[in-house]
Amino acid sequence: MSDVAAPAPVSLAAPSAWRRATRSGGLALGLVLVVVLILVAALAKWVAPYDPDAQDVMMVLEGPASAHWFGTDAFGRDVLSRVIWGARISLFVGFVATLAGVVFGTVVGVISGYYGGKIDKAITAATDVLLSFPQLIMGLMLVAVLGPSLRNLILAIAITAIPAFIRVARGSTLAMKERDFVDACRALGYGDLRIMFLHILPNIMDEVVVMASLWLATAIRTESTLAFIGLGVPPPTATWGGIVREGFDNLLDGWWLSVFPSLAILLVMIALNLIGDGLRDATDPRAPQ
Amino acid sequence: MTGEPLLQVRDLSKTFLSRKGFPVPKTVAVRAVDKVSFEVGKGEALGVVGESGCGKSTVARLALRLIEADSGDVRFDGVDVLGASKGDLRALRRRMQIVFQDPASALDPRQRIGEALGEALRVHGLARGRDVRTVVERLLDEVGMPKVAADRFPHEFSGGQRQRLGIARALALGPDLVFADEPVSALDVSVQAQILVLMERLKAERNLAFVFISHDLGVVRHFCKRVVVLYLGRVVESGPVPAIFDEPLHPYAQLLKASSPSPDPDHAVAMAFQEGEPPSPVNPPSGCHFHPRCPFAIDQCRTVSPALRTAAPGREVACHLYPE
Repeated sequence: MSDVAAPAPVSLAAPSAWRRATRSGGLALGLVLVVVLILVAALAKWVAPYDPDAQDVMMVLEGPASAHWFGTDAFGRDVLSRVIWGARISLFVGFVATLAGVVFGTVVGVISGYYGGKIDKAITAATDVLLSFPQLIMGLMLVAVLGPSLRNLILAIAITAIPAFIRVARGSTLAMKERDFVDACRALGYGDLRIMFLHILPNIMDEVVVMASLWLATAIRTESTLAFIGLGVPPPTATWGGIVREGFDNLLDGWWLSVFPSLAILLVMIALNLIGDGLRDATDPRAPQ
Repeated sequence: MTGEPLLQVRDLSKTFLSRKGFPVPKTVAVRAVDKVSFEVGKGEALGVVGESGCGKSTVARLALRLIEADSGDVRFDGVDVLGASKGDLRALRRRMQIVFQDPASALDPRQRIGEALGEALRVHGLARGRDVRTVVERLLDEVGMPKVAADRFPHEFSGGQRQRLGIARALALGPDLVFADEPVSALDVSVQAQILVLMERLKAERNLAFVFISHDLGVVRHFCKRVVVLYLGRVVESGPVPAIFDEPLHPYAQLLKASSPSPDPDHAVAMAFQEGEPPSPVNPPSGCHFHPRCPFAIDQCRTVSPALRTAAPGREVACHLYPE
C-alpha cells in the first residue's frame, strides 16, 4: 500500500516513530481494514447486493450460496446486506460515543490534574466510583434507565468511556506539569486555559489517541452486546449485535445467521487493537526497537 | 548599591507539607525557605549559592509567584509582588523572567521556536502580525541563533542551543531582572563558558539584573558582584563576592570554599571539617542548622539560632562566633 510511505507526521517527536510503527505492519494492516470497513458502511447503498429489510418468502433460511453469500434469515432477508447496513449503526455508535467520551473525559482530566487540590480530589473520587462498575454493567444500567434508542445508546456508551479518559489525561497532565516549560508559561503570564489546552494537551495527545483507538473497539463491542441482549437500537434496524441475536433463534437451522455478523465484530476488534498496539509502540519511547 | 533596589526580598518563608506513612499518615513539614532576605540592584548580578536541597530554586519560584509564599515581603521596583492582583502580576511578569536548569524540559516539545517566542509577544501585545516574526528573529540573533531556528522544534537542538533559546524566551518580554536557576549546570564545560559569555553580554547591553542560582562557586565568582549563601533554607552569609570567596566568615562558607577545587596544585586544601551530608530539611538540627557539621560549634549553637548581623559594611553573617 503506497500510503504506508507517506511523510512522517511532524507532530510525532521522533522521526523514526512512524517507521517503527509500520515496520511490523500491524498498524498499517489495522488502518487498511478500518478504512475499508468505513467505506463499505458509508457506501452501503451501492455495495449491499439487496435491500437489508426486503423479505423474500421463497428464500427463507437458505445457506451461503452465490446469490446470497452469507445466506438468508428466517424472513428471507439477505444476511450480507444486513451485516453491511449494520456496520453503519455499529461503527457510527462506536465512533460518536468514543469521541464524546474522549473529548469530555480528556478536558475534565486535564483540569483535574492541572489544578489539583479539592477539584482534583472530587473528580478523582467520582472517577473511582464510576470505574468500580464493570463497563458493560454500567452501560446496561444506563440504557435500561434511559430507554433503548440510538441517542441514549451513544450517551450510555460515552459515559462509560469518560472515567477511563479522565484518568489517562489526569495522569499525563500531572507528569507534564512537572516540566519546566509549564512554569515558564506561568512566568510569561499565560492564562490557565492557554497553558492547559495549548501547551499541556498537545503533549498528552499521544496517550489519549492510543487509548481512544482501544476504546473504540470496546465501544463497538458494548453496542453489539447491548443489542444482543435487546437493549440496542430497536428492530428492524440492522445492527451487528441485533443480527446475531435474531440469528440465535434459528441457530441450529442456520449457523450462518450469527456467525457472519460475529465475524464482522471480530474483524473490527482485531483491526482496532492492531491500530492501538501500533500507535502505542510508535509513541512509547521505552518500547523495544 | 545606589538608590532604591530593583528587587527587595524580606523574610521570605515557605513550608511544604506532605502526608506520608501507612496506615496512619503523618503530616511532614519541610521548611524549604526560612526568613530569607536579600536585595538586587538595577543591572546587578546577585549569586545565590548552597548545597542541593537548601532552597535556592524555591526562593526564585516564590519571588516569581510560581509558588505562593507563606509569609514575607517581595518588592519589585517598589511594587508588592506577593500581594499583587492578577492584572498587576501580569504586568510584573513582563519585567521578571526565569531561565531554567534543564533546557530539555524548559521548552514545549510540540511548539516550534518561532511560535513559542511569538506567543509571548502576542499574549502581551508587544507585537502583531508580521512584526512578530521580525522581533522573534531579532531575539534569536541576540542569543546567537540563526533565523531558521524559528521553524524548528526543540528536539532538533543541542543542550547549549536550547539554553540559548530559553534565554531568548526570557528576554522576549524585555525584562529588567532574570532569575537564572542553575543555567549552566546541565551543560558541558565548553558550552557553559559560551552561555556565561552570552549572559554577561546581555547584562551589559540590556542593563539586565540577574539572580544567579548555582552550586558552582567558580561560575558565581566569575559572574556575580554580590553573593548570598544559603544553608537549609536560611541565609548564613551575604556580601561582596571577593570578600566572601577570599575570607569567608561563616564556617559553612569556609567549608564551601575549602571543598571547591582550586587550580593551584600547591595550594593545600585544609579540611578541618567533619565530613557528611547536609542534614534532612524535614528534621533540621536545633539552634544553628549547621552546628552538627561545624568544627567551631559552641554550646550556644545547639540551642539558639543565630540572627543575621552586620559583620562589616555590606557584609552580613549569621554565626555566634562573630558577636556584634
